[in-house]
Amino acid sequence: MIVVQDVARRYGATAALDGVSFEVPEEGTVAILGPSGSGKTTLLRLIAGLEAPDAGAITAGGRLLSAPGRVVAPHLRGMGLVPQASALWPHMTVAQNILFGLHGLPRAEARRRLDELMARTGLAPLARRYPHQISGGEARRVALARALAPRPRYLLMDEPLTNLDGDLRDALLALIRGLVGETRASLLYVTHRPEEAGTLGGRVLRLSAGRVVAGDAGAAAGHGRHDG
Amino acid sequence: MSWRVGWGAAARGVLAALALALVLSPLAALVAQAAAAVLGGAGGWASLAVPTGRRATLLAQSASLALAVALAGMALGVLAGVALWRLPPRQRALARWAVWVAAFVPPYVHALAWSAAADRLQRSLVSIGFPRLPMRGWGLAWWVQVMALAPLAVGLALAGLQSLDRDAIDAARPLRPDTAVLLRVALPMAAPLVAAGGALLFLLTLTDYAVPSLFQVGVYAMELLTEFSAHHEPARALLLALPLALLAALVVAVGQRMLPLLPQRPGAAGEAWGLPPRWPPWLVGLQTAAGALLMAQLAVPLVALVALAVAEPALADTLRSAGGEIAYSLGVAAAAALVALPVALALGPMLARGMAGRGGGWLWLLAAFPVAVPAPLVGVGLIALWNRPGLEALYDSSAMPVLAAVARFAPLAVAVVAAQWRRVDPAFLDVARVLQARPWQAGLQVALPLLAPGCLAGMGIVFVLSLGELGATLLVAPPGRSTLTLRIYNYLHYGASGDVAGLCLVVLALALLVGAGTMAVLAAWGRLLPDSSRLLPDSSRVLPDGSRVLPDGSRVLPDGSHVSPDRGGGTP
Amino acid sequence: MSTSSRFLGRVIPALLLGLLLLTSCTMLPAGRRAVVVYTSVDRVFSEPILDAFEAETGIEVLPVYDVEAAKTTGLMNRLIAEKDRPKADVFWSGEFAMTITLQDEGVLAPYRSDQCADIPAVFVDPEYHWIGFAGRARVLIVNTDEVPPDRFPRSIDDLLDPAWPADRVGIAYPMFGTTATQAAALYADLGPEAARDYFQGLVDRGVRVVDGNSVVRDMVAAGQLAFGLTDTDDACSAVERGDPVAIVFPDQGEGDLGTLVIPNTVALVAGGPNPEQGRAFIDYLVSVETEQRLVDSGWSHVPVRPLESGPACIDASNVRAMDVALGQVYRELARSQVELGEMFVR
Repeated sequence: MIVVQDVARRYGATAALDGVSFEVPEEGTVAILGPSGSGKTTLLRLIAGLEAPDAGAITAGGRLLSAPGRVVAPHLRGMGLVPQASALWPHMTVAQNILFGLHGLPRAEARRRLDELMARTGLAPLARRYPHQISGGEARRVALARALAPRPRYLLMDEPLTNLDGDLRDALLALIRGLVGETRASLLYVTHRPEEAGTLGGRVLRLSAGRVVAGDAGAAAGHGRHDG
Repeated sequence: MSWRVGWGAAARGVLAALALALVLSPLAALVAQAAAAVLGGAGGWASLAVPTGRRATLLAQSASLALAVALAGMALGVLAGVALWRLPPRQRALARWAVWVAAFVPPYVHALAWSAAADRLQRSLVSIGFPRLPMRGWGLAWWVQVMALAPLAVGLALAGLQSLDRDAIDAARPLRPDTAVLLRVALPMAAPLVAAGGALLFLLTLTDYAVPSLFQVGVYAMELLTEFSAHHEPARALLLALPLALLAALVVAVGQRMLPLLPQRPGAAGEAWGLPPRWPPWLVGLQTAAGALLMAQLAVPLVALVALAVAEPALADTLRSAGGEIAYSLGVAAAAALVALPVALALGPMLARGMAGRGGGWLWLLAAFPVAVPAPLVGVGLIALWNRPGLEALYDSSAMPVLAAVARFAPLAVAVVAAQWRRVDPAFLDVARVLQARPWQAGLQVALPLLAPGCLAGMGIVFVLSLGELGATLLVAPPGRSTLTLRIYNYLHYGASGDVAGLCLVVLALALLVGAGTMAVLAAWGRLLPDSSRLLPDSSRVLPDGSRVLPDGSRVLPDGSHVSPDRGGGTP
Repeated sequence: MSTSSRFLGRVIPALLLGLLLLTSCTMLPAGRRAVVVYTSVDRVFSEPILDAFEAETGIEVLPVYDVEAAKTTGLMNRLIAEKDRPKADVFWSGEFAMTITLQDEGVLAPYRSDQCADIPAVFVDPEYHWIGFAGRARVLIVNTDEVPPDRFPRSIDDLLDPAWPADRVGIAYPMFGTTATQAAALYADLGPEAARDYFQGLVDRGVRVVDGNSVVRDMVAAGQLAFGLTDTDDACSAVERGDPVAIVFPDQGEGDLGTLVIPNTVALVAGGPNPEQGRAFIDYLVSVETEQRLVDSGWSHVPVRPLESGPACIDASNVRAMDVALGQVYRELARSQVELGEMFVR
């Protein structure tokens, strides 16, 4: 379980996040809804350990991960991150991208997991291709497989379904739901589209101007309240 | 509309041809002379072009020195770049700017300063009983060359590291420790620019004779000079220069293959790392050493220059009398940079586009040749071309030193603009072409601003190099006119070290001013242009008040703030 | 129109206009009384003479100076390249090899100046294509802190003497400048084989070879070298600076080689734009008064004719010059440059 407590992050005079608190339950799903500039990506980066909070604390599984001046390294937090733009590494093939996080494993085991993941995500025929040789939808799947390869306890996704149309969306949706269910990871995702919030399930929280506006535990999804 | 499109393409073609002519004409004149001599005269001239025996050894020695300097420069560049990365943004910008300015100090100053420092070190070592070591040879030549050229490598490595996509680093850090992220993700992605630095160092070392001759290292460039001095026949010298030029072209050809690897998306605004990376002690140690070396690189010549300058009693007079040359140097360098701009704009995108196809490689070879041809030969080619009846208006004017600088350095600006063009999302231009009311609007209002950083960088490079140009200017400067560099080198022969140091400091100050100005303009330009993500063709509409409506109904106001949709009820 | 295009639309034309103005302003206006002088003499010494000529005659001097870093590939090649349409009127050099080369290339025109009547014939071209004056000598410069007077080197052969560590003695590259001239003189006087042996000896020993006479001087002055070969003007500038150095005319003994004296030379360029002004300048340059001025300024130390006062930094009144004809030296130059190039650049 991830617990975010009174977390704040400032950039100069602007407060990107100003006292955010919520929980992501074990094997649960939480969606964070908020328009551009509301601090969603910053929040994800804080939880992933890519930035340090100016105030507050982030714990996961009872272990303190982030506090002002004290941050556990990103690769030791048991988290997976799928950035908004897939961000595949252009100098590595699809297979190498996915294998990157399996470095510590014995070769046979790593290969086995790779084959399994690629079969599951339908990426096997693309294994030797480079990122500039695959489509946007395929890149999303690779990014997902890459993040899930080391079997993290928590998965963080930034705008997972944005800019995808109909069929691709549904396919990716099903894939995410399936993989997350199989690996029993907790999922935290952010989006700016109200209709997407909740499609992956779980609680919906609203983030606006650095604060969580809608209530925390138990707040219903559906119509977002508007601030005019 | 098709005839309009035809005109546009024809105009671009003509411009490109003119630009190419401007850059390559002196070389062409030289080649014509050489061809006439070889065809019409005694044989045996062609043998000059193929190095055998002693000359082959010299060529190999030159190449290995150049390679060693390039490798060391790249290593230093990466380490120093990573070290500078840790600085907060403002200090980092300052460091980057200082590094580029330091690139200007003439190699001879580095050679003198380090030679004196090495001698002092040796004396103190000898006084405590160490054996005396000879102050010559490969080691010293390599060291001084690396120190002289280090800023270029560091600047380019830093640019490469700065251009990294933050999301790519973000995706890697949760998976493996930061050192692995650096070695497996960040450095490979920064490799194109780092390699560009290496290629530049290779080229500049290959064609240099000043530093190796100071330490008695035999290089091919010296052989070239001896030949030209003994026979003063440009055709012979050109043929002799051919292997050098081919080697240079080879390096450029290999380097340009890496250009497609440049990230298509410009790096996301803001720091690539966010939370500072954690390095193991050995890496921190290496970075510290690199940082110290970099500071020594700047400090040693500065201290040497200032020490020499203040010891000179007549310095103020010298500086005053050099006022005319200062203005003239500035004028010629600025003019060269200005002329290089349309050349770079005409040829850069062509080069970038042509890279994909077969023709690209040849275009790059053409771009590489002028860089490798020795400066005096360029001067001779210009004289052959322009010293004709009826052209006095041009030949007797200051256009000649400008043309010399353009012929030698515009190819570098072309390369920079070509690299910049690769990073422009073609979608921008497509949308603009569809929407434009007049034929040249897309080019002027969309392509040009997007190319601006590359243009400015290219112009800056041409400016700085023109300021220090010597060999060709000497041959074509109109009588009665002299540049600062000519005066400095004239004084060097006389040995007025104090005056030389003072004038070098003036040159340094000029480079500083130009560097600061360029950086300031670049920063202002960045503010003029909105964040690139908002320019993506996402079918947004622009309202009369300047705000934009996003597809989800929310609005982005002109000051950048975001307003949620003001309609009740969410849309499913 | 967007801000950026407005910026470009205004600034670029303004800059281009400035460019146009710059180039037009610096064009040489026609029909002015001027003389174009190409000179390889250090600016510090030549500029005062040019200014004095301008002040006295009202003829404007448009100079082009040379730089050592170009290693004689500068002015000489410019003159040759411009041969078909010369831009220069006068060529003034600090030595004679370049000048005779230009004579061979057909760049020069003969001019017999009245002022050179009292110059010995050995320093003037038989057909008056060039006139020699205001000589410099090839001398040994010695660091007095390191070397006591009784151990001063007295001959160029001392460079081969094993008593001196090889990296403590130095010369400039013998393929360029006055060092090349001295090498050619040795070829002419000793014969090619003996001269080659001498230089091969230097290479085999590992003597320091550096980038110019001024570098030799600076290194001796700084104590990095014990002694080296350089020109009198370089050596005297060190003496005047107060450096701990002494000057020795080498090979002055009875029956010895003698010291090489290298005269300045001046020549009229054939087909130059202002021949009358060119001749006036040559008259001025080879006059006794100018030679005195050159000696006083420290550029020349071995005048070609008796003057009122000698050089300040050294007594050159009884110097035994090397007995070798300038033309002979010149003829050996091409070969010596190539052979020594092969020897020294490996």
